[in-house]
Amino acid sequence: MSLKLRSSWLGRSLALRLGFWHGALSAIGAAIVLVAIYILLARALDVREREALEIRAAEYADAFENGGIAAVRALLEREQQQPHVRSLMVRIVGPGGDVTFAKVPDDWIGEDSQVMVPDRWGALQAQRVQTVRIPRDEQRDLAVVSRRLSDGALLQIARSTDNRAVLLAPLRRTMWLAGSAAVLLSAGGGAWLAWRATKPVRAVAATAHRIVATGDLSARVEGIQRNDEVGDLVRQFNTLLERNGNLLRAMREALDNVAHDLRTPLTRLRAGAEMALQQADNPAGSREALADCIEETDRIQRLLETLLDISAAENGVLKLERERFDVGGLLQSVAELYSMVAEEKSVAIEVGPGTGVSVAADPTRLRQVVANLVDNAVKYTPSGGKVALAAESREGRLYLTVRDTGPGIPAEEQAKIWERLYRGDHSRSQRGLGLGLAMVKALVEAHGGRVTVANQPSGGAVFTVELPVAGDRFL
Amino acid sequence: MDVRILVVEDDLKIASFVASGLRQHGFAVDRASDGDEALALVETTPFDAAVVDVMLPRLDGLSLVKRVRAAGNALPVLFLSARSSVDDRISGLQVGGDDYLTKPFAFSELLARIQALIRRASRTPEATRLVAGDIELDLATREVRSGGQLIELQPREFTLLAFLLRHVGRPVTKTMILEHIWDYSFDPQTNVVDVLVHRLRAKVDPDHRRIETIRGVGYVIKA
Repeated sequence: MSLKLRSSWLGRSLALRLGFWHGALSAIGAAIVLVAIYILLARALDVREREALEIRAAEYADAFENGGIAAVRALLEREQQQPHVRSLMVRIVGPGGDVTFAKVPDDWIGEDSQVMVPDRWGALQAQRVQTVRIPRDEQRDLAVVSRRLSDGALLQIARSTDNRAVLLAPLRRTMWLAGSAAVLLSAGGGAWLAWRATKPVRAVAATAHRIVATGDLSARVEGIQRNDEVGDLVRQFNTLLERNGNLLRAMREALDNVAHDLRTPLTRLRAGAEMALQQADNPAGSREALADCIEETDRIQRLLETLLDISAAENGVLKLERERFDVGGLLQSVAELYSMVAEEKSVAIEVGPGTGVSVAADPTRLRQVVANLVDNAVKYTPSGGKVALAAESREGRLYLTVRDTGPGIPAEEQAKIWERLYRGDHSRSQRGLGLGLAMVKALVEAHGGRVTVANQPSGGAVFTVELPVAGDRFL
Repeated sequence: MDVRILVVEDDLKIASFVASGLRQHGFAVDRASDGDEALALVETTPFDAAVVDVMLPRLDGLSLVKRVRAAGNALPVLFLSARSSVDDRISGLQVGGDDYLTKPFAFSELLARIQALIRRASRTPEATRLVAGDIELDLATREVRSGGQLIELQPREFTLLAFLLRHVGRPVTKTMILEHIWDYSFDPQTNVVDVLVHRLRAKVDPDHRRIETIRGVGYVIKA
């Protein structure tokens, strides 16, 4: 149960998990280092003590060789009061295991003056150091040095390792404290660092949650100013949100526009159908009404397709089939298409220089751009006027102009003409959907270019399409 | 022998509109309302052409044609689709469709396209002399006569007259003319077709006896 609980909060917070593992790893590291130091220190102390005992043993062995046990005893009594001698146990054990001489430090002896020392020592090799526990005092360890004497007896010198323990115990305690503190610090520090590092991730998650919960697409991740990978994640996330928001807004607008723009032609369609029904006794009249219906249907269809195309171009989902082609040829073909319509109106179409100018663009779409501009120009140019097409490239940009000798466009309307279904003539005297220029703008911008309008000093409007000759980043 | 056409369309109104229209023009028509049914029919009956809606219940139109082609059947196929994107057109042609028409469509356009498919499939050599009443057009010499009088036509006018004469008695839509004469696949928002027809009429049919305007549909040259 408690494990489950732990794993659930550990599993949920990346920072806590990182902190936990950081702490665990540094605990292992600290333990290895501290244990190694402790072992090395203990061993060094051990070696030093043994060397000291070896010197004593050699001294007593010399005394023994020179004057027997009496000399040893005399030496010991002489030095009895020196601290390093007082704490020594010295004894000589005969080959049969019988103790021939013994000096035991006072503090070793409990109530009984008899010292209980295991008798197996006689079998041991000389020169070996051994720690032997004395049964009287479980806490006491001994460092022992043995030395074989010339008469076959064994000289043993032992000292309690208590002083060593006295030295090492505080070290152990310090190590425990310092180690735990280091582990806690590293776990905490790790968790804090991880918490700081994952802050943008939490901000992204929180923003995503908020958007999902409230549907508010304007929410963005804020307050993260970093240049690293996580900062990049946040920026890309925001860009993604921005783009999605724009797309959705554009789709909603397109849908609104379509719904709105369909009402009028649908009403006319319905009116036509009703008229046809009512004129059962007038075949010619009902045929006329039905023909109206079909024309209205075609109009609705064109409206729908054009609106969808404009939306697609505006949102970057329109596929452009780019290729490099001659702009002069394109101008000629558009001029040719409109030549008869212009002739009927006594408007001349002139194609100026443009041959040899090439551009990387979608030829069908660019043709549509020019056609819409020419269509517009011919419509608004009075009889006897002129529409002039020209193209030139300067500094990597293609400039395509359509000039007319019409009335020009009032300054206050110049920004509005690009809107969908905006008409310059409010009387709606000219046929058309009112989408031509909106389409031009959407298509040009989809190509990475721009389109502008101005009035010429001599009168008449001039539309300029500016496109990157290289096809921008697409080629 | 009857020319037999398969209409695969799940919308009953459209299916019966297409089928009855085709029957009026002398075709034998079978109908299927989904891909599986159509597949079964294609396997048992030799058709001269098929009109296939892209969106069908169960087996869809694209998969249907893919299967038909996989079985080694070269049946000419005209796709109908409610979507007009270029991608759809391309994928339709890629699976082995021969032509593509977007809904809503004019019946005369559907008819013209089917006739073109059948003609292409049967490789009927085209006549070099096209005639409608007293209007004659010779594709080889590029001579046009009306009531025996030699008439000078502009290249576009000539192409339009030839186009109308190939579909003699059957209406052609403005879209078809635009595509055929100017190779325009988008709406130029202009009455350029009306102007061209007007000019052609003035030259070969000043009394409006042959070239007739069908409002809401297009133009027809009467036999």
